[in-house]
Parts: sequence; structure tokens; C-alpha cells
Amino acid sequence: MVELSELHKKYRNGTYAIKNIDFIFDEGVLGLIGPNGAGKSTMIKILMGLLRPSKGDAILLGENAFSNPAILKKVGILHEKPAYPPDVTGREFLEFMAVFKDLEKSDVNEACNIMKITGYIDKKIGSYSAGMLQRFGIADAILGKPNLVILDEPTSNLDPLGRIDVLNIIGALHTEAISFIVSTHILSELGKVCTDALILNEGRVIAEGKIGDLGRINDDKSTCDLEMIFLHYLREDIE
Amino acid sequence: MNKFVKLISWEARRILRFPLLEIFLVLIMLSVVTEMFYVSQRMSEGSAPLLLSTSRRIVYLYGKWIAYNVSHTMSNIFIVSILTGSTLIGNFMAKEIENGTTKLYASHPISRSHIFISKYIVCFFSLALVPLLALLISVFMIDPRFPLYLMQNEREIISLLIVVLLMSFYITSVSVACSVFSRNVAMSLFGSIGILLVINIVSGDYSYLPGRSLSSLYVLFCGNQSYSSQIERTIAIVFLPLVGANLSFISYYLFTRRMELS
Repeated sequence: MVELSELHKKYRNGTYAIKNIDFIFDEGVLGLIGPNGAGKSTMIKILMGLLRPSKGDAILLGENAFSNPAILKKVGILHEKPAYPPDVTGREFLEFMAVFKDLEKSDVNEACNIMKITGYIDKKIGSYSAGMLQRFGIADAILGKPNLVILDEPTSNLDPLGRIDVLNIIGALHTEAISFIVSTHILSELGKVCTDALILNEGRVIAEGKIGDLGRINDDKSTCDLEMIFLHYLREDIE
Repeated sequence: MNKFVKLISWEARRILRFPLLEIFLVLIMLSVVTEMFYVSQRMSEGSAPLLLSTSRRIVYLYGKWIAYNVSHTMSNIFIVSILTGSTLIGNFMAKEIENGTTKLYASHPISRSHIFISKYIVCFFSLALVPLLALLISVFMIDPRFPLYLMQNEREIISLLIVVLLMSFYITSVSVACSVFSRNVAMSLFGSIGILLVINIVSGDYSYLPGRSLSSLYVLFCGNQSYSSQIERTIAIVFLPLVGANLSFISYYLFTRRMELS
């Protein structure tokens, strides 16, 4: 589903946002974890064809999204700070995007129902609160139930109930053969739905694999708590 | 193709919600109307033909006072169009690149070339619509003799249309280039206005540069060949499309092949 090979991203000032990442993700729910500035969002943007890698390849569902944007029909994304046009209604926007994904209006209604946004979908996007916008963004990402959904900080701006809702939705959609890549700081909650994890620090991969394998921190101790796993590998890397 | 048309109509609906369009339409109307009253007054006093025949700038227009009127207002319209175009395109293109809306579109299955071309087409026609509407409405509303004259002379109408389209193409290409290069609303706005106005001021000394060339082109398209040398005429005709096409191509290449939407 996702294949990164020797991926590098170097900025003009000479610093690396991503340094030599080799990674393959087939299916499941991948937790993309790392401290601020670890390169999570940069990696997502390269995957989506928004940024060009300095070296290496990023393959999404067998294609390069930069040269073949049609592949994005099978991919949904929620950006960290999505800038939806404020002067259109949520429904107008989703129906517009549905055209490009070869979907029907019923798919728009389904996404709205899943995210519980039917109450305000006919209002202008500019009038949405941060939480409403986040839910709307996730509805946009899961529109038409694509093969892969990438969520960058999906639970930010959401209240605790909203967070639980989102995690439940991820779990439910995963059972319908939809894979997820989720980048977030709320690790304790994410651990409940993740099958895999990719831990980044300073643009490098410091750990990757199934949660069960990563959770065997030492011979005596095993955990599924993503926060503990993350902190363990981060400490190891710093030392 | 259907999706591309849908994209254009989506962008058109969005740009038509832009309130500055109406504001500048009123500004252009005012600039045209003021000019119209001035010329009408002169003519009713019997001084307009004399004025036309003695003014060096318009000797070649003797007997074609309508041409004088429209070509004179062309410079006013050009300046207002610069402000309209730069503001409109800065807000529609640079702002969307800067705040991430373009990134959002590019994250969906819409090709970058379609995004660029649809925005370009919509900006171009919106910009062309403003002076065309202003000119036509004012011509038809202010003096009933003008439309009669225009209707008798198709060449005048076609000339007007060509010059307005050329002007819009030139302004759109410069403003889009500023937007794509700077990816910043303020820089795009001031860069675009600055470049276009400086060239406009310089055109006082070099008649083949816009905006003086716009008035000259209008007269030339109307059939008057005597206003300048062959070389100046050729440069005046070639300059706008050449600059516009080059800038548009560079902007397209940068947007679709090089731009990083971070």
C-alpha cells in the first residue's frame, strides 16, 4: 500500500526533514509517531505528491502521487491544518470532490452520517468551529471509503467524546478493509486501534513494526501502550 | 473533460463571490462616465472637432471622435484593471497557495495543471469582463449617438474587444506570475501593481509599452496606420501577447512541476 525507499527530504538551508527512510506498509492501522519536527507531516506530504523528495521514492498504492494524481481517488487525507474554502457549504465541497472521485451524492450523505455532521453540513464552512471543521475534514477523508485514509492529527480540536468517536470510527472502518495512517500526539488512545507503528525522530526511523513486536520492550516487560513504546524507543535513540 | 468544466465552474462561482469585483466595476464606470461627460460637453459646445484637429496626440483620429473617446478612457481603465487584476488574482491565487487551499485541492484527485488552468481562465475572463462591461454599459447609457456609431462600425467593436482581451491577458499573466513566484498575498499584490504601474509610467516615453500601446493598438486595429513607424507598430502588437505567453508558461511550469505545497 505504501512503499518508501531511501527517502530523503533536504531543505534549502541544508537541514534534513527526512533522512533515508525505507519502509513498507501493507494494510492495517499504522500509527505514525514522533516528537514535533520528527518529519511525520513531511512524510505524509511527500506521499501525497505535495512535496518532492530530494532523493528516493514514495509509492502510494503502486503509483507516484506527484506524477499520477488519479491514484488519490483511492486515498483520503486530513491535513493537520486544513484550509477549506470558507465561502462554500460543506455539502457543496464534498459533492464537488465526489465528482473527482467518481462518487455519488449518496456517498456524501454516508460520510456525513458516519461523522455526525448532517446538522451543519449545509452551512458555510467559514462558520464552522474548530471541532466541527475537524469532523468535516475526516468526513472528507473517508468520503467514498477509499483504500487508504491518512489522518494528520485527527483528534486535535476535538473534545474527549469526539476523540473516542474518531477512534471508534477508525476501528469500525478498518474492519471494512480500509487502512489508515494516523499521525497524532494522543498516543494512549491511538494504541487501542493501531496494528502497526512507525516511530520517527529527527527525520529517521527509530523503530517500526507490529505493535505486539514493538511492545516487547525487554524480556520481562511487554506492553500495548503506544505512549510507553514511543518513550522507550525515543530514550534508546537519544542515549 | 466534464470534470475540468466542473472545476472551472466551481472556480468561477467562487471568484464571482469576490466583492472587489463590483467595487472596481463601479470605479471603472466612474472613470469612463467622467470622460464621457467631458467629451460630450466639449462637443456640444462645438469645440470638440477643433480640439481633435489641433491636438497632436489625436490628429490621426480626425473625423473619428469616438475613437478618441474610447482610446482616452482606455488608459484610465488600464490603471483600474491593474488594481482589480492584482487584487483579484493575489486573493484568488497567492492567498490560496499561502493558506493551504491549493494544497487541499492537490490532495484530491485533481491534477495540478487543471487547477492552474482553471484558475487562470477564470481570472482572465473575470478581469476582461470588468472593462468590457464598464465600457459597453457606459457607451450605451451615456450618449445615444455612440452606440449608433459603434453599430455602424463593427471594426470598432472588434478592436475594442481585442484590446481589452490583450490587456486582460497581460495583467493576468503578470499577476499570476507574481502569485506563483511569491506564494504570498502581500508580495504578489504589491509586486504585481508595482511592475504593471512602472511599465505604464515608462510607456509615456516608449509608445510600444502598455498602457500607451493599448490606446495606440486600438487606433491601429480601427484601421489607422499612420500613428507610428512600422517597427513601433510591430513591437506594440507583439509585446503584450509575447510577454503574456512567456510569463504564463513559466508560471504553469513552476506551479505544475516545481512548486512544493507545504
